[in-house]
Amino acid sequence: MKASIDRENCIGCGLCEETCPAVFRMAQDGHAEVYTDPVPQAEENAAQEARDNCPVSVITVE
Amino acid sequence: MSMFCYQCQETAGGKGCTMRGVCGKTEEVAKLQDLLIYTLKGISEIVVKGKPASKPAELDHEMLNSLFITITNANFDAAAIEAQIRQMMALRDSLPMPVGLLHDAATFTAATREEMLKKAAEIGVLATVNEDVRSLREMITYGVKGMAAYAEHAGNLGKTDPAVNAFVYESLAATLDDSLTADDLVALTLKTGENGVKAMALLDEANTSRFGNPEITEVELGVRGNPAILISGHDLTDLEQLLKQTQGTGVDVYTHSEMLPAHYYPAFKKYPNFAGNYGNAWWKQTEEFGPFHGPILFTTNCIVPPRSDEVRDRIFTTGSAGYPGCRHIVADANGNKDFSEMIALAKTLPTPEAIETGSIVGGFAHQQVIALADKVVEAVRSGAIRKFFVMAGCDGRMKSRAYYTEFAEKLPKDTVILTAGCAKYRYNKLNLGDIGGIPRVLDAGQCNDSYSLAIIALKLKEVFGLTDINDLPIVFNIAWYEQKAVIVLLALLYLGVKNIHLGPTLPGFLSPNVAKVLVEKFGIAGIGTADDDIALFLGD
Repeated sequence: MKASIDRENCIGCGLCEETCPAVFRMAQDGHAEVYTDPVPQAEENAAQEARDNCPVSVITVE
Repeated sequence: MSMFCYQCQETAGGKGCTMRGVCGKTEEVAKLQDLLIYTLKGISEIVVKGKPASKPAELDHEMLNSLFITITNANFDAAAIEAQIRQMMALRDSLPMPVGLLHDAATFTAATREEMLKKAAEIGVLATVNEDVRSLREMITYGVKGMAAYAEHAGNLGKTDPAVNAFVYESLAATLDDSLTADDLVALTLKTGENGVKAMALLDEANTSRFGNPEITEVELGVRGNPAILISGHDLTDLEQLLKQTQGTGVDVYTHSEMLPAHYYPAFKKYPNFAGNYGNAWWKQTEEFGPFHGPILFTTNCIVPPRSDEVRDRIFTTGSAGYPGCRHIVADANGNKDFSEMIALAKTLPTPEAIETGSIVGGFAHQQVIALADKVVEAVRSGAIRKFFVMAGCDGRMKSRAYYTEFAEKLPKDTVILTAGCAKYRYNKLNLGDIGGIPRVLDAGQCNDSYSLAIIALKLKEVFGLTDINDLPIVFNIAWYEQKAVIVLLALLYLGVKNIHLGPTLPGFLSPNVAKVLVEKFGIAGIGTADDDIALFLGD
């Protein structure tokens, strides 16, 4: 499973980092980034939850 | 200047939304909301300074409605907000202008959306440069928004309180007054709480006088095999009209999120098609509206922008709520609403899929609990109940809210949770058992029914012969999200409740100095871990 973010449209709210800190983190530019590839199996549910709750739907997990 | 909004608990990074709201509102909507509030402040100054002998008949109601429109997750429709600004500017300009210098908010003009957005960029939250004054002004404004929401619901039931309406003008005008000191604004914050109590009492009276007092009720969580409409939000008059219009049509009505407590009112039990509660707190709608399949009615917040056209096409809004592309149902001059389009649509759609089974019990508002007072007092005196935990408030998306589930699960079996608002969904299906027949989770109702919890606390204080509410074996561990929780908090502070714990994070709109005042004067604190907090609260 792989996660990605459309960083240009990320609003930097931090919800994904809070939901799944093993995969997402806030980068220096204020937008979220994916730093774990592939998504560890134990984190798959959390990564999907982060995708589902992203307020601007910029996260893809597949 | 870009948008800036930090009125809710989920504000970006705990500091402020600047690109788009975490709630889903666009920069354009955020700015129009700012301008609407600014217009209300100007009107308030004219009313306070001019003391007009008479105001347009609709002004009080439209002030409340405008405030409600700007509450988190209530209205995402730029066109509707623009129209409201125009209406309020027209009302403002119909008022007799007082003599003397007036604030720009009372006189500005903006003819087009473009001009409105240009103006909004100059007058937003950050236009108040001093961060402590800004923090206090915004806290008061947010409290007034929550108060307005409760007053509007009461108004829909024909109940108004002139003192509450007058305070809207007084408080909003004060947020324009640069001569007020931080101490003045702290005093006004408590006065906001005082008026919040009045608004909640008014709504309690409006609801109970029309629909009866909430009573212990078992609410079904499963589904029946009929077409159905889901109703969300808080407005019980909308629910009543929907139940009347769906009766005998073969269409069932289910509640979602904050509408769950409607089941506790005797007046709604006579409708055989009032089927049960579907789903959980507001933020779960993104996964729960899909399998519901039927039309959904939002009577107020909290709307989450729908993720598909299929769901959006089933959403209807009414009252202060709104969403672009969703049909909006307007009341006629007598307050009547026509839900026939929703009912017709329901008949063409599949029936709801079950996402849960079983039932939950609620209905422990003040009259019901006071009816059980002997039993409760005896349980406290005998030691069967060691402590009450008020865990009212809101739910939300943040993972850290799992704290409330863990906290509820780990509380010792000789404790009872008093709840109200959608915060309950974090623990109301855990089956925490009972103490001598008293359930360990007592749900009073919607967020405004936190008033009931305050009444219960005051009654217990009287029964136990105490002089200070803080001497009761009651701990306040409140979860907040939007501005109705702000007025509940301010109301509790006004009632003298100290040492309230507030989570999952403290408001982003509190400046360090204002937070310090709340900590030092009222003992407000955040949350820690469930284990640490339970040990702290129980004095272990």
